[in-house]
Amino acid sequence: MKNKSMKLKKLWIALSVILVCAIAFGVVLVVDRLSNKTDLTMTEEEAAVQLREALDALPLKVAKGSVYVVENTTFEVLSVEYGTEKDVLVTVSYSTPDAKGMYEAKKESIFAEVWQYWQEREAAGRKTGATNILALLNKSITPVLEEQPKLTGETTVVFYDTGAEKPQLYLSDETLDTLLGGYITVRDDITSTTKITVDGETFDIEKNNTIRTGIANYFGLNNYDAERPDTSTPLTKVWNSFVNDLHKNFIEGDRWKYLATGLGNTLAITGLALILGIVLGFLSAVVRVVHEQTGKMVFLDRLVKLYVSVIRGTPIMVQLLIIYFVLLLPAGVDKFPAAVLCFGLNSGAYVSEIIRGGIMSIDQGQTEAGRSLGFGFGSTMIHIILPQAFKAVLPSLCNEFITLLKETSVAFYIGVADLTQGGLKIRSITYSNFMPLIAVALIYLVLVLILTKLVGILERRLRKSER
Amino acid sequence: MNAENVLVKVKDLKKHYNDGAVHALDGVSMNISRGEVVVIIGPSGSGKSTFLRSLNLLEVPTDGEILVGGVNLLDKKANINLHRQKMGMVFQHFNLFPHMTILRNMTIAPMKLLKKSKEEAEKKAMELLHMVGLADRAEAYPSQLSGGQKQRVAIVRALCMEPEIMLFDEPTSALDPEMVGEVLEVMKKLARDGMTMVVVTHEMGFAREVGSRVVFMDGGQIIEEGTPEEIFNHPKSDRLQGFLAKVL
Repeated sequence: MKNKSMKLKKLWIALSVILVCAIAFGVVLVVDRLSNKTDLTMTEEEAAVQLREALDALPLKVAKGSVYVVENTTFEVLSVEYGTEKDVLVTVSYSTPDAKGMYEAKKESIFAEVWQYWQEREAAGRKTGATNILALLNKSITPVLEEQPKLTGETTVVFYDTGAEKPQLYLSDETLDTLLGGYITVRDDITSTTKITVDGETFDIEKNNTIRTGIANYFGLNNYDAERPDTSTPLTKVWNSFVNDLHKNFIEGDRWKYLATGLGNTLAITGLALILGIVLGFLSAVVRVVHEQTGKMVFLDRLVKLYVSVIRGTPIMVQLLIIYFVLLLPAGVDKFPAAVLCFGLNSGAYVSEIIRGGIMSIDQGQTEAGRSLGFGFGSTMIHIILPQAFKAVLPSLCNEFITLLKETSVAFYIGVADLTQGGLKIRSITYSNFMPLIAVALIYLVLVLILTKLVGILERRLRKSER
Repeated sequence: MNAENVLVKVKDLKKHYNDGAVHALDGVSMNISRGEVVVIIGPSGSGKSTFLRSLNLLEVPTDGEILVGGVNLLDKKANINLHRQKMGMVFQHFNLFPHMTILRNMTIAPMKLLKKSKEEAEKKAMELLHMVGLADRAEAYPSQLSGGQKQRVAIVRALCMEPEIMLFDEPTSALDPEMVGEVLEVMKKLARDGMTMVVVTHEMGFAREVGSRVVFMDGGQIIEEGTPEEIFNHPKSDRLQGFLAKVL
């Protein structure tokens, strides 16, 4: 009863600690954000001037369409607000020629016109460049564009405090597209068009870059590439890069699957090696104890001694390489069973010593009591000595199993896709060190903690009987 | 003493250590008859415990004969486990099984070796626990018992196998003085009920009161034996006289 309330209390403490941490983290994030307002102020006029200048400075080249659209785009600043990313949010109403509407209505005829022009020149044996096409369209499309009705609306343009005297305008593709009547959408559509229809006949122009570039150039703004200034706080930067790393290492390309598969293999190797190790270790320990107490099994005892000293006297990695590359690979045995065999053999040697120690630690009087009642050597072992020895060695056995679990991490040396190899694989793809390695370490840690907890429960249950 | 009543016949038993350098037993012969209580006394290192432990081969003698029902136990063909079932033993340090309840301590051997049913074995065990006044501790574990209680349990654990003879190896030496009495009481009751007993002890009062024969050992040999009256009131040898002068 008391035990239960203690446990509940512990749980509450843990939960409140987590809650407090979460709240603290949230507060830090909010404060961090709030402290990230710009100190600069901006008037509506200043904003209007900068926006106008930015539009006029766009790379329009000699594309009459672009020039016409930009020159005929007017706007009015409605409000200026200050955001939390050292940004100034300026809302404007705009009025612009409906370039997108025009393009969508005339797309087919534009392509047909250019196609015919190109065919005619080809037939005449003249080369057609993008410049020729631009000149053609400058003449034929501009009048149509001029007749288009105006498109009006509201949008927000963003200025950033980049440390300069005034906030700097950042025109993203999306903002520009809105301001200029869908101009960028049109350009994208042109460059991704692969088939055109002229007089009911379909032509493939996927390889004909000249036609597409020529038309796209009329709509201008090639090479427009604005970069958003990074005005996030250091904390946000760290957080963002953390999230990015997380995404890159585990989400992208389903890379977490390397860890999942690896974990499965690690558990399988450990589990199978554990069984093999216990069986081998138990048998070895029994051989040694029988020999020590009765003098029988001389040959087996020697064999076990040799086995234990060889395993304990060489590094596990060398054992693994020898067992796989020298012994099993030539025999056509796969890596996985080789790893299980190696770790099982290795563990068996240690388990054998642990169990032997446990048996020897039981008072000789227990054996005498058992024998004096008439139990034979074997029954005395089974009913009286081993149950006590098992309890005595449980902590050491647990340690050995934890060691085994961690030692399986060298399995990647023979190419087994274990947990460690999963992490290394991700590392080799993303060139990140932190994320994959820390993830692998955390998974091992959690496994060990779970194992420790389980053995603790088992131990408590066994100890209950002696109190 | 007629020959048919002899339960164990020991002939010229020898136990040598270190290639004969140490003679723990140096030619001990003894007949133990049915219903007899043989008390072995002597200074420490006299070989009395070794002799007792030789009777059920916890110590393997170097030479000699132990005849039980005409079978020499030292013969390699002798079934020593079967022999031990009929020969209960009580140790100085109790040697109860700590991982089992008192009841389990007492029933495991009858169930596994005599193939008794659980009910049968437990019934017998409970009767014996009643006899020693520990019936209410049947479900306890040895660590919950006092030394005197442990030793009483050890005695009835041996009795559960219904032995023909009981060996006691200094059963009260590891006990606190106030607990000696309760254990001796149980042993006296056993003796009154006609159990054949061989007891190694330092309790001279017990030897005098209960012993049908007292054996004085020293240097791995029997120096003197006789009734308690003869041994305690009319010791013949110098060594026995010296020993008694020290302990009484």
